[in-house]
Amino acid sequence: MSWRPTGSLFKPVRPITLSTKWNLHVQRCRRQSSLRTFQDDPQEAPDNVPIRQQLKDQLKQKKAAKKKNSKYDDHDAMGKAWELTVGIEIHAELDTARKLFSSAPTNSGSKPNTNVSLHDLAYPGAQPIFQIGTVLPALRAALALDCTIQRESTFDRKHYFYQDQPAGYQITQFYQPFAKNGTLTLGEADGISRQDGDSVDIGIERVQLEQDTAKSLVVSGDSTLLDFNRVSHPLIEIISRPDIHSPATAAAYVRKVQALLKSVGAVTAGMETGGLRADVNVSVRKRSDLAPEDTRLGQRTEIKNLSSLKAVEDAVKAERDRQIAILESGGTIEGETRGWTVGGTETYSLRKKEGEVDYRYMPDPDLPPLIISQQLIQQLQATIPLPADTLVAKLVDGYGVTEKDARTLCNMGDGERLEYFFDAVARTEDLLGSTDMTARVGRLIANFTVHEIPALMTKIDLEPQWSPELIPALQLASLVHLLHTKRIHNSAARVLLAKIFETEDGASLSVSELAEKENLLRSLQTDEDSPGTDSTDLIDDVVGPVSAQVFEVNQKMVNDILVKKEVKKVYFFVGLVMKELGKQGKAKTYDPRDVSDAVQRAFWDKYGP
Amino acid sequence: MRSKLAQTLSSIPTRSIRLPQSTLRCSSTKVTGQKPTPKPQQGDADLNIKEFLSQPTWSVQSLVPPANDSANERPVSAEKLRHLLRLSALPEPKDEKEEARLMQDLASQLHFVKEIQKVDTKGVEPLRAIRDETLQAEQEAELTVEKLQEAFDNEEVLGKYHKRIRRRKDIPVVDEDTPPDWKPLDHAKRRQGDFFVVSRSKEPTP
Repeated sequence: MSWRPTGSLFKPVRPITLSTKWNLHVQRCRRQSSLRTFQDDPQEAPDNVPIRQQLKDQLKQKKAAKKKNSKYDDHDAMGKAWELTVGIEIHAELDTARKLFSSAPTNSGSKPNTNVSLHDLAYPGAQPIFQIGTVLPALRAALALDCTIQRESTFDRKHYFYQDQPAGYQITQFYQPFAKNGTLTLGEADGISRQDGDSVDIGIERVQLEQDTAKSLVVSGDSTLLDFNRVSHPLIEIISRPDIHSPATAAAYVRKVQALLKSVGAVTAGMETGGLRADVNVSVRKRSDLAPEDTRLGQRTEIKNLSSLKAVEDAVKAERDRQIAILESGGTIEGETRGWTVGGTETYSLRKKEGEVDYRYMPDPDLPPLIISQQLIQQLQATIPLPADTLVAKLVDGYGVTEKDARTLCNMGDGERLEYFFDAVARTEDLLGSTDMTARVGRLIANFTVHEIPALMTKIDLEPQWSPELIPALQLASLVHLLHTKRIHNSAARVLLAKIFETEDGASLSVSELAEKENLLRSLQTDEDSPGTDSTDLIDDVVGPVSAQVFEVNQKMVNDILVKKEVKKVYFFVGLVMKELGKQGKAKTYDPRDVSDAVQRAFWDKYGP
Repeated sequence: MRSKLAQTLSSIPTRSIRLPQSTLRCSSTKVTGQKPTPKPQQGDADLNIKEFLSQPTWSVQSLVPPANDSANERPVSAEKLRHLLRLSALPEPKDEKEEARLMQDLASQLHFVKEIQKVDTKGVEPLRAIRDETLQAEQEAELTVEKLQEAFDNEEVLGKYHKRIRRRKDIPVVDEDTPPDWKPLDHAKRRQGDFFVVSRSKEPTP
């Protein structure tokens, strides 16, 4: 699942009106892509076109308004008077071969009640045997959360009777968890609330190993079906400190923990398949009642089993509002466990909260302490995959990738796009024979990987499956090499990409042979003689005369623009000029956006004030 | 850490092992409600040990509440009693008579627990289990890279530039410890297809 930050994406920067089908497609790609990454010169065209400035300002305003709506959650007077505090417990299924205390396999695809050992069903006399392979994903998860690993930790029994737990107790780590005192830093890009500023640190109190429960299936009548395949599947429970003060940040925290666990290979599944569940502890207190150093929180309630990020955010919001409403009408909050239905508007009471004493925790006498060597921790620390924030910084600073694209690269799929990106960059460097241009080509390659190739995939197939073989990294490298050495135009690069992807030739010919065959190499060679010069003059030389012709033929339209101030009609001319260039066989050698700019320049040069 | 058991044992006053005849006679089931009265000692300053041993310092009788202890007849509220029964998955009392009996049982159990809690355990680590606590045993239990070699072997690193660790799913996991002829559903009281079945109406509230 890819996740993208809200707000600034997918905005059409410069609308263009073009007629051919391909150009419509290009237009669509553009809407999805960051146009600026294609430009040699990131500066905007001169400000002599008021219409564009106008449109840009409108977009800016829209964006600002949207940002306010979606991110500012501590709304109005209510939010100012009350402080919300949230602590989160996340249960994540570890990716292990066997269960926590038996040698039964964990495969999720098996028939119900087949991956079950005697101990899993609590047969009398069956002993728990800790499966040591479990510590690898558990330790990686704890290290990714910046925790201190305890050399010795112990297992305890938490007693309660329920059908999904045959032993009458769950084995967990209550007294001595294996990891403590972690931190997770959430930044703006993680989607935190505005009130948290640029970043906020969420403390991780502890991470403990424990058993999962069986799956209950409610069927009609009064029966519940039980599948014990999941019983005793290894879980980690990650308990945060009450450092969260907004619903958006609560969801951001869960999202980031999920991504982090996945990136270090600790878990196989996310929330969407039930591999991760969150319980949130919510309380509010009145700000005016507080001395600055007062750390006492209001009475909290726990909302259990939230299985999506939206559920986390919505449930926290709803529970905050419920508690404030009760307190404002003079009531008191009951300590209790509450539930949340997806798509609901209110939390509902499940049961009175059981106190810790009710679980009658006791050390499990059947299990020896877990002892983890320093050498094992060091080995895991040395080989742990880099966290996304570090990768993003590396991509932005070292490869010139925009932060937005860098985040997308890191979050897309299973990391295979990032691998593809690095592969293509390395191959391009080989072709260039230098690593001096890494930042320049890195940006281009990121743009192709994040925007252009997915756009092509969507065009061909409605449910495309990514594969690095769609456009082999070497071919993308060759294409970027042509683009970087100005042998092809941006628009030609897109056409060429599609040719590599779609045609027989794409597989048999080299990229430059294909470009030559498809007549996509740049028609005007001046650039190569003086690389780095702005191509504005060249395009104006071609577009200028064509534009002059179409203006002559359509005087009425010119008057509409000048007299009636219907300035948007200038795009009508862009379409006509493109058509004309098409007749001359030159359409593909220019970037339509460059043509649009040139037509507008030509218009205002001729008729402007 | 190492000698938890030894510490625990040494903290128990051994001299109280010797109990007077009167106490032994009225032990477990029957309770007289009288404190054991030590025989008055007749001088003999030379035999301090004899005198010492003749004075019991503790009696098993202290673990049972005195008869007609009306103050502790209802150690908890009826509501609390039901809460405790529910946590233990035990049935609620059918009538007041049964409730009174349960209260009485609870009272004597609580008395017992309170007596045990009087033992000073300051500085004594709880004994979790009786096991080998030698340094050698700890070293044997310590998880090292070498001990986890099999688990490491079952992982692979994907990617040349962006390395990712994945557990290999193509290695079959054989459960050698579970008897091959045992089927989990064999002892199910109710089953439906591949599932165990429980009745919702009888479900205790979690």
